[in-house]
Amino acid sequence: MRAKRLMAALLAALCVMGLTACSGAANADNASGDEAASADGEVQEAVGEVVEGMIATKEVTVNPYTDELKIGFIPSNATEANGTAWGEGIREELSYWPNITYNIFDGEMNADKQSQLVYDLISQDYDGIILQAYNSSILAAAVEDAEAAGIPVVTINLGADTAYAGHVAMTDYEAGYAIGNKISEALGEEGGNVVVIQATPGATRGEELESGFQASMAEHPEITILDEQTGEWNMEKANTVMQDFLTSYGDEIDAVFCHNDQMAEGAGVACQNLGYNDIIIWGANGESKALEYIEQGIITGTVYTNCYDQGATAARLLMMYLGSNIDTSTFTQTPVIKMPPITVDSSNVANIPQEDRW
Amino acid sequence: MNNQKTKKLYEFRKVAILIAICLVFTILLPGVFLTWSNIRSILYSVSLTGIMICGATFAVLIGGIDRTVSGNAAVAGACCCSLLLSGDGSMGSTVLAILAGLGCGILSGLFHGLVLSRFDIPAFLMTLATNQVLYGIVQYITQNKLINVMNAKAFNTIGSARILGIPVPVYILLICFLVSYVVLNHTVYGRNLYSVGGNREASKLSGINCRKVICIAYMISGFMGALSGLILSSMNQQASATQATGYENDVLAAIVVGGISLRGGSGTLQGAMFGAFLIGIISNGLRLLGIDAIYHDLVKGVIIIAAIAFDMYSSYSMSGMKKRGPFRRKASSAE
Repeated sequence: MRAKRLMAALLAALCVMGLTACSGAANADNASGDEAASADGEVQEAVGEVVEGMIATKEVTVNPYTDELKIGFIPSNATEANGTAWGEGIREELSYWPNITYNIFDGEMNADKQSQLVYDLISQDYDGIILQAYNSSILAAAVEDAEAAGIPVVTINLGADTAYAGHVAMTDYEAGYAIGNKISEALGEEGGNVVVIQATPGATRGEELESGFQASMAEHPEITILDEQTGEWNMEKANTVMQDFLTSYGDEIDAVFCHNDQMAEGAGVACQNLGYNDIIIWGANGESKALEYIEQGIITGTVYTNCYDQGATAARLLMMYLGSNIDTSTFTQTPVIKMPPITVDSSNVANIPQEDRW
Repeated sequence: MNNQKTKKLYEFRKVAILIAICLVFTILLPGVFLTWSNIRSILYSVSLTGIMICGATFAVLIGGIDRTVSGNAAVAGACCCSLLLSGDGSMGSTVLAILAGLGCGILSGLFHGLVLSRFDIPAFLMTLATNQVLYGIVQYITQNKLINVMNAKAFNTIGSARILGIPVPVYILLICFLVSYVVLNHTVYGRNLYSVGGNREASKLSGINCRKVICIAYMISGFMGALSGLILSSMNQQASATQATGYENDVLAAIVVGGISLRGGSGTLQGAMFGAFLIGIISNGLRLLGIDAIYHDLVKGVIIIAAIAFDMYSSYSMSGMKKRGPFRRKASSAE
C-alpha cells in the first residue's frame, strides 16, 4: 500500500517534470521559433495522454523495493560517448535500488541487431527495457511485442514508430532548427553560404536534425546551402569532407553545420590546418571535447544535452511503471519527456559544470 | 621494338588507369580537381589506409590475411593516449607513450604470427576473432569514453603539422611505402615471403624458415596498423572505443582491387597502393562534383569494376590469351 502511494507521488512528480522540461526547452532557447513551440504543444498533449492511459490498469505483480528485477539498456552504440553517458546515468539512478540487475547490450549501430536483442530480453523475462533505437520503424515490431509481453519499454533519444511506455527525447528537430537560427543570426541580414556535413544516410537522428535545420533555412532565404555530404558520424571522415568543401568553394563558405560534434571537431581541425579561421562551425550533442573546442575557438557552438540526466530520467520513468498498475501496452500515444536543448557557444560554455560534461 | 614499348606501357597500366580517372575529373571539375590543395587533400585522406596497406600486404602475400589492422590501430591509439594523459607532458613521456603504442601492435602481430604459423587455423577466422578481442581491450582501456589528448601538443603535431605544405602523415606513408617496397623486392626476406606465399611446402623443403617468415610478416602488419592508429589519434587529438572501425574492409578492398592474390605469393605493393588511390580519388571526385552521398557507393563500385576489367583485359592481352579472353577463361577450362 505504501509502495503504491509512493509510486502515485512519483507519477505526479514525473508528469510535472515532463511539463517543466517542455517549458524548460522553450525557455532555454528562444531561437527555436514557432515550430519548436508547436512541438512543445504536442509534448504537453502527449503528457496529458499519460493521465488518460492510467485508466487502463493491470494487477500489480512486482514490488520494485523488494523483488529481484532485471532491466536492460540497448543503446544503438554502447561505445560512443553519449551511449556511455546515458548508460552511466541509468546505472547511477538504479544504484539506489539494490534489488535491480542492470545490463547494457550493444546495438552495434544495427537496427536488426537491436530488434534481436529486444526479443532476447523478452525471452529472458526482463522486467523493463530502455532502448535507444537506431531506426524507429524497424524497432516498432519488437517494442510492440515487448509491451504485449508486459515489459514496459522506455526509449531514449530516438523512439520506435508505435505507442509504448515512454520516450525521453533529445529534441533533434529543435536542435537543428536552433542551429539554423544561430547561424543566420551570426551571418546577419547579408546572409552567406553554408555547407552541411551529414550523418550516415538513413540514420533517423540525422534526418531529424536536417529537417529542423532546413525549416530554419526556409525562413532565411539570404542563406544558401552550397553543398551537403556525409561524414558518417566520424571525425576524420568529416575532416576529409571539409577539406574537399574548402577545395571546391574556398572563401565562399561562411558556416558549417555538422550532424554531430565529432564531425564538427573534424571540420574545425580541417579549417584550422588550412588557415580558414573565420568559418562558423556548429555541431550537435554537447560532448566534453566539443565544449573544450568551443573554449579554444576551434568550433563555434553545439547543442548540449545532459545525457547523464537523460539516462536517469528514463530510469525513473521505467521504475514508476514497474511499481504501478498502469498497463502501458494499452497506450495509444507514447508519453514524451523532452530534455531541454541548450545552445552553447563561447558566451555560455563556462556555465556547464565539469560534472555534467560527458 | 614495338613489343618492348607495349610491355613498358603494360607495366604502367595501373598508373594509366589512375591518370585516365584523374583526367575525367579534371575535365568535369576544371580548376578544382587538379589543384595543389586537392592533391594534398587526396594524399592526406589516403595516408592512413595507405600505411595500413603497407603492412597488411605482407600478411596477404604469405597467403594469410590480417583483419586486425583496425584493432591494432585502436589499441595503439588508446594505449598511447591513456599514457599521455597520465604522463607529465614531457618529450620523454610522449616518446614512451608512442613506443608503447607501437609495441602493442608488434606484440599483437607476434601473437598472430606464432599462432598462425604453428596451427592450421584459417587466418581470416583467427584475425576476425582477435579483432573483436582487441576492440574489447580498447573498450576496457577507454571505458567507452573519449580519451582527450588536446593538450599533448608534441604528439598532436604528428597528425596536424605540415612540412613544405604537405601533411606529416603523407611523409610517413611515403617512408612506409619505400621501406616496404625495398623489403619486398630487394631483400632475401622479401623473396622468401613470396616463396612461402606461393608454396609453403616447397619453401620448407628448400630450407626457408616458414614460421619465422610468417611471424615477421604479421609483426610488420601489426606495427603498421599501430602506427596508423597513432597518427589517427594524433589527427583527432583523441582515442575512442570505436577508433578505426571499418578500416580493415577498406584495406582489404584496396589490396584485392590492386591485384594481390588472396591465396598469396603474387601481387605487388604498388598494386595495393593503386587500389587505395583509386578508391581515394573516386571518393574525392564524387564529393567535389557534389553528388549526393546515397549514390557514392553505386558510382564508386561501377568505376572500380570498369578499372579492374580494363586491368584484367590488358593483363590477359599481354599474356597471349587474347582468343579466349579474361572473362571466358574459367568456362573454357571447365570444359
